Amino acid sequence: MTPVVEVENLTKSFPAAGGDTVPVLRGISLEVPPGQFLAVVGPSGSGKSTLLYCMSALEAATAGRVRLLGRDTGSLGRGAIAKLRRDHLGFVFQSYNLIPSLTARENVALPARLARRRISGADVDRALAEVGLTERAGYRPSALSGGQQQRVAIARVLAVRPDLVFADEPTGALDTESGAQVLDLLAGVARSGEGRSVVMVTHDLEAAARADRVLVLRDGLIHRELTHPKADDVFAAVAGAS
Amino acid sequence: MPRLIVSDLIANGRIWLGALLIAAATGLVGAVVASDIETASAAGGNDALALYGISGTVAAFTVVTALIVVGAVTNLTVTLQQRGYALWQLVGLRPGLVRLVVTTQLLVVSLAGGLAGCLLALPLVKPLFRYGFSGSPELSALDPRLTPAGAVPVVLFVAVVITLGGFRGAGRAAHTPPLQSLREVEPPDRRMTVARWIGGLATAAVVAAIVATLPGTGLDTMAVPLMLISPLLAGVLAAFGPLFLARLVRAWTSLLPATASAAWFLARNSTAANVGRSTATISPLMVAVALAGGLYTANGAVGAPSGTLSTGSVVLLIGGPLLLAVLGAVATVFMSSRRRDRELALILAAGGTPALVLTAAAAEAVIYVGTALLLGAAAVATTTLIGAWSADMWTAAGVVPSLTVAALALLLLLLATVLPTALALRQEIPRVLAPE
Repeated sequence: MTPVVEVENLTKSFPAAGGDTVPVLRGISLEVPPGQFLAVVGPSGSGKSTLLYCMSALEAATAGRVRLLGRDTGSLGRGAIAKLRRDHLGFVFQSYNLIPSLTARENVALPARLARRRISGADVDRALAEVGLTERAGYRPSALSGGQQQRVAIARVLAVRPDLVFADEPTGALDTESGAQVLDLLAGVARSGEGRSVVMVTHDLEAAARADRVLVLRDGLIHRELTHPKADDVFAAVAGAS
Repeated sequence: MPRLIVSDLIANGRIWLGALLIAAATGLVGAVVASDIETASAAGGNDALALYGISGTVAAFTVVTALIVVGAVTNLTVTLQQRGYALWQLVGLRPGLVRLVVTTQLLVVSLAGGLAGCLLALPLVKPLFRYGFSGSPELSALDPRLTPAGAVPVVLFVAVVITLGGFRGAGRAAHTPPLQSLREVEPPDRRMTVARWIGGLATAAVVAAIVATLPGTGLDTMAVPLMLISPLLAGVLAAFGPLFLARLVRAWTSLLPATASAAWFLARNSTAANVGRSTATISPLMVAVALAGGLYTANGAVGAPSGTLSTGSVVLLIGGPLLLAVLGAVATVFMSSRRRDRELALILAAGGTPALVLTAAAAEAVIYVGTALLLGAAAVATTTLIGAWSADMWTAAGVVPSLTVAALALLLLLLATVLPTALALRQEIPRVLAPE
């Protein structure tokens, strides 16, 4: 099976004071096959969020190559990257996922509207029903709790059925119950049998243990890789990386 | 506390710079009016009488415009920082102290701006006076002056209007529960307040009183009260804006179906949902349209051909208030542009192209100006009706000036919305969406 994401020797540095650069990713290589739920964990500053942004073409790599669905993101212009995101990617951020001036229903339909694709009201309502927010469809984000906002962001992903979902600390601002709901929904995306993959960055090690595969980052490198781990395995691996 | 005042002014530089700019513009326009009054006082005789009459009209235009523009900008200054004030409370600042800090900031910025405006006016007073009165040899021969005696009341006026204008907003910010402010990414919608009801009804009463005096007024003296009606009506509409503005925006922008353009859909929702932000931009623009259209309508209603209004006299009468109104609208867009950054980052992450984001920014400018034009035109049309009733003369003289001002304002607003958006497009999306 062709991987949905291929990362080769990815390096990312940020400018620092005095004209220096600070390396955050130091040559990472990995692949994500279709239908996999991948979690990336690691201590603060290990580069996990930066890895997700580079993998999703939200941030340009300093060196190395990222292929999304077989396309080298480094060779794509801004318009082509926008089209790739619109047609194949979905995002769930830690917060500020929704356009404040749009209702939950309008936020869910937004990617389809941007892509000038027809999306039926029934599809939007079904996606909101899947996350348990049918009653809140007409509410704006300011009238929703943090957990409800995250679930609307996931409903957006469910409605447009992207090939690949990137989630950056999706449970970081949520209580245990809301976080568990969000994780169930993300796991459901990967396990729908439609070959859709989820890449999630998290500091919540129990959340990471729900993934098919866990990468533990340390100092911008992959320190350990675990397959179908238990929470204790993830704890031990991260403890070893700290 | 002084450290908090200064550091917050620097941290929110974009917002406070907008407030400072409007304070300076108000000071500049006020200083030009004060100079005319001072010059009249020094001249004495018939020249003084003529100059007092003209200055009084200009002062009325300036005060109406300043109250609307400065009120809008000051309120926006406070509401845009509501989240910050909530954080202050969470770290232990009492609500009373929050209000004191904000009020002190407003006072400092208004005094600095008012003073800067008066200083800027110093080299401009003479050439503007000569230009404005070029059609009147007697008056243009006078020696215009601006002394501290004329400048101090202007600085005080700016300080009082801005500080009092923001005082209520500061109180509201201080007494909003911190958690509510933190949850609201956008400031809450602007609502009707007692002050708005009183201000709106009082201004409507003034308009009614002016209209009541018109039937007995000769054509030669009717132009001045008629030309006041349009900006005053704009004041009434600005006061009652929260009652109808969102619905008006949604109604006229629905002429283009939501399915026709994603950019238009995003812009119309943003404008209608953020009434506080939109009111702050639309109100000054509406005043600008009403000022220009009202002046020419009044002139036409008394039977004067439009050519009798020289460019000099137009600049003299409404140049300052027009400048203030348009600058006010541009400043409000500039001040709140940081709020848009997060929205546009989300749109890009959802697959929107940079071109779509820029088009949405341009559409927002079109919606602001279109709404202001509708409201300003309503004020001008009412003036036309009143002119027809009192002077028995129908005129369409206000149409072209209203459209001209709207077109100029659109150009400036396009710059104010599209340029910051183009700059924001250079930022990495993750940085913009990162939790604060």
